[in-house]
Amino acid sequence: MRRFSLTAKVLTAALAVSAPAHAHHSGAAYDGSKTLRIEGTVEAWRFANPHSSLQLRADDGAGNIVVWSFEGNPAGMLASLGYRRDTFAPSAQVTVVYNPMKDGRPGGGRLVGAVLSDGSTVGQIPPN
Amino acid sequence: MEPMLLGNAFRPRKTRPSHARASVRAALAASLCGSLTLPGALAQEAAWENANGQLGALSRANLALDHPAHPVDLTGTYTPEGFWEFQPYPKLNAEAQALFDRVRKGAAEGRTVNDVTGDCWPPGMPIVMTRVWPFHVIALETAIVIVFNFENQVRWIYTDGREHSDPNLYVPSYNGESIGHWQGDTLVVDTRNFETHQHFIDRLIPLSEQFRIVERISAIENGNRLSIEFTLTDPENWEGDWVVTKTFLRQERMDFVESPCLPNTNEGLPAMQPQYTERLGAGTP
Repeated sequence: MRRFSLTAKVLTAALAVSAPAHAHHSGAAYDGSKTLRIEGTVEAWRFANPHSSLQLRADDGAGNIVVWSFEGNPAGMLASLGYRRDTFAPSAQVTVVYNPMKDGRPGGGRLVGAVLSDGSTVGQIPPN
Repeated sequence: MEPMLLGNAFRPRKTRPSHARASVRAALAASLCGSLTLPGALAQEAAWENANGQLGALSRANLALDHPAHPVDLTGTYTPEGFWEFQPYPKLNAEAQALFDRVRKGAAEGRTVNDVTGDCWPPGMPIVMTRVWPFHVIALETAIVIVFNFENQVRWIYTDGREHSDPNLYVPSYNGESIGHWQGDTLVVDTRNFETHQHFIDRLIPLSEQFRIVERISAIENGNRLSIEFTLTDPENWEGDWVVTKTFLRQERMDFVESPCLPNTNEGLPAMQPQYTERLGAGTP
């Protein structure tokens, strides 16, 4: 994975895609006003249209390791944000940045960005 | 299981007359395709012809006719700008308003109601034009073809002078039957003959067979944008003309690959889990 730098062009693209994240279906269940982080182990990554998806083994907040599911934007949009087919290698340790569910349930959300095991980033990483 | 390919018994003999050969070809093709069978000597491929005799938009004979040249070449790749919904909304009738309210209430509570496109129903016109994804416009004299990245949809706007089909003959479609003509530098497109089943505007406004769209399409800002004024009418579902103007930005470095909606497309996605997704089910439009 080559290091991804957040250029002005990419930042513009990130802002442009942040609103219509429900490109294929509704995103009403996601809370776009909140951005959270979670560390875990990659289970599977699907770089595809009409949307991408990431499965991650991580703590559910109650001490149980479960598979979380994150929905990403269409692959056609993600490529310009640094994502690739091999961005999330199986078993890799990553930090996922995501919009949680509006009802607060753990287990999934909308993929916003990620910090990869080599410290590089993909997607839209808001400042801490 | 016996192999599906046919043996000698079904091969046409050289001595047969031509109509018999056509019949055998049709039978052979039908056997290979499945259960489609055609009576008499009509070849299967001929059965796909326009039933009203209209020359195809891409037929050499049609392209060779002296059609008026388009005053503006709209060919290009575009992305919709602004929010995809067709706001502001018109005054809805009671049934459409009830559905509208239900969908809005669900969204406010974090649930998706009646997301038929998310469930792989075609978005249809006019939503297919505004749903975030890019589209290609390919302008020929006889037709303007729009190829949408979103769900691989295709729309044809015929500009070869034809009229709308007899509704009794036309197979209703989610994108409708579009006929265009130029008024100065504006392409005016009249679209009718819609499929109305599971076809909504903005997920919440149903459509009837009276639904009709008139678009006024023009290139603006030296062709860097398209402007489309949509006039939507459906007296069964709202009052008067529902007029919304949308703009589309020309793109120079944008091709796209297929985006099929498959049986497993939504598998495992958080937002598509039952607690977040309310389907209206049978009895809805």
